Amino acid sequence: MKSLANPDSPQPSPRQIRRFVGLAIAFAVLYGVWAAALGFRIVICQQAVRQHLWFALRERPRGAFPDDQSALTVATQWVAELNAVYHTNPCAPGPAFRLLRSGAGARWTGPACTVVVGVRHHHVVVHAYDTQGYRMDDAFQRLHPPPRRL
Amino acid sequence: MLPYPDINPVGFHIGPLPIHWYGLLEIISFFIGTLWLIRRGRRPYWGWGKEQVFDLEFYLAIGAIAGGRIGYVLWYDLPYYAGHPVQILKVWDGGMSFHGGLIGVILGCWAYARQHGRSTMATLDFVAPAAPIGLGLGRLANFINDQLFGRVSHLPWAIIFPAGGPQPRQPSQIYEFLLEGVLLLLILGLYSRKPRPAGAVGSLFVLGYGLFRFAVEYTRQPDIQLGFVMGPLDMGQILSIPMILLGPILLWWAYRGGFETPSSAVNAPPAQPRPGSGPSLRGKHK
Repeated sequence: MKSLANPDSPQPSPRQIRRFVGLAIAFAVLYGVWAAALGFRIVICQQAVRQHLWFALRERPRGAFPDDQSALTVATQWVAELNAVYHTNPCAPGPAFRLLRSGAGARWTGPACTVVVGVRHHHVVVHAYDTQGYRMDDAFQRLHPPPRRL
Repeated sequence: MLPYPDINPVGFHIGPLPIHWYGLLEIISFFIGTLWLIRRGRRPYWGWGKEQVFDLEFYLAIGAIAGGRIGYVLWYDLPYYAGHPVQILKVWDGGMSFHGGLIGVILGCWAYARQHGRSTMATLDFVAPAAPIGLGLGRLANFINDQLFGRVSHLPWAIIFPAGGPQPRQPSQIYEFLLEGVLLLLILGLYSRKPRPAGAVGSLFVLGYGLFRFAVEYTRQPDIQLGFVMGPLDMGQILSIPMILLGPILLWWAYRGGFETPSSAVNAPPAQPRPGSGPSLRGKHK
């Protein structure tokens, strides 16, 4: 039977074929195990942030305050209360809730896995940053509270 | 911004039984894929009879469902399923992984080939071009089912998906349909029109799917329980990286003849093709 392989390159020996297939399978298996371990860790961490965000969104002080300063005072006290309820952050060093003093529109440069409380237009606002430090979609999270899965 | 075409996920009823578009599209893709494989199998250099295609599809279906589910459990939500193992069996509750399904299909081809005296790689080459039919229609089903939508976007063709909240989102299911379905089908269909070295078509599928999936994931909303898993990459991209890495290596190996075994020669044209010879060549290589 005619071979369709490139006639210019020598066909691998049976030993080389076995070694190639073995290496490919080993790579796939090890990579799969690593991905499963990564996914396991991330789901646990993400679940914690989602829980914190959900709690914060539900308990957030609502309504407009007279000015940003008074809103910030309320937010500061509220962050302390939140950290008393959830006193550990399972996926990042430091507290689970942090205050953003420079305004909620400012870019968060702190640790990942954190719920950030800030002030905007005299309101207390809440944002969460996922295990990789990316801002989470608050509206989407509010729509699908933990432990909802998609 | 485009309106979401509010298609009822239930296509029609057969008596009291609701027939969902999702299931219907899967059945349609299975039907089209089967017809296409039977037609392809008649070509002398493939040498697959109708019965053999049906046999193979049984192995593929088991592999795809079991692999898809196990892959989802392992890679997408292991802590939950470790605590609720019975839920693993509830496939109808959703949660399948393409990458797990791919491994399941490879194992299915291996089991079939082993039992029927064929080459695993030649079997994979035979089925690979039909896979985008199921993948593409599956993505359309995701769109109809208002699931696996894209990230928030303000592009003119962004859509407000009811399950995604009030913000417009990328219709990433449609991108996936076009790339993993239509374009990949075209590429593999054209490439496999001529006889290729054993393993080449399957390897091209691995590379093509990996590239398309990796690219589209940049527009897709990551799974809510995971988010991003490594920097800006989500789990779909993490699992596509080995496909992108291994695809070209497997192609190179195929062109070196590394996957050619005596039984894989069914993938090659016979030395003296007989006009009108459609029956299986399997017996010739036993």
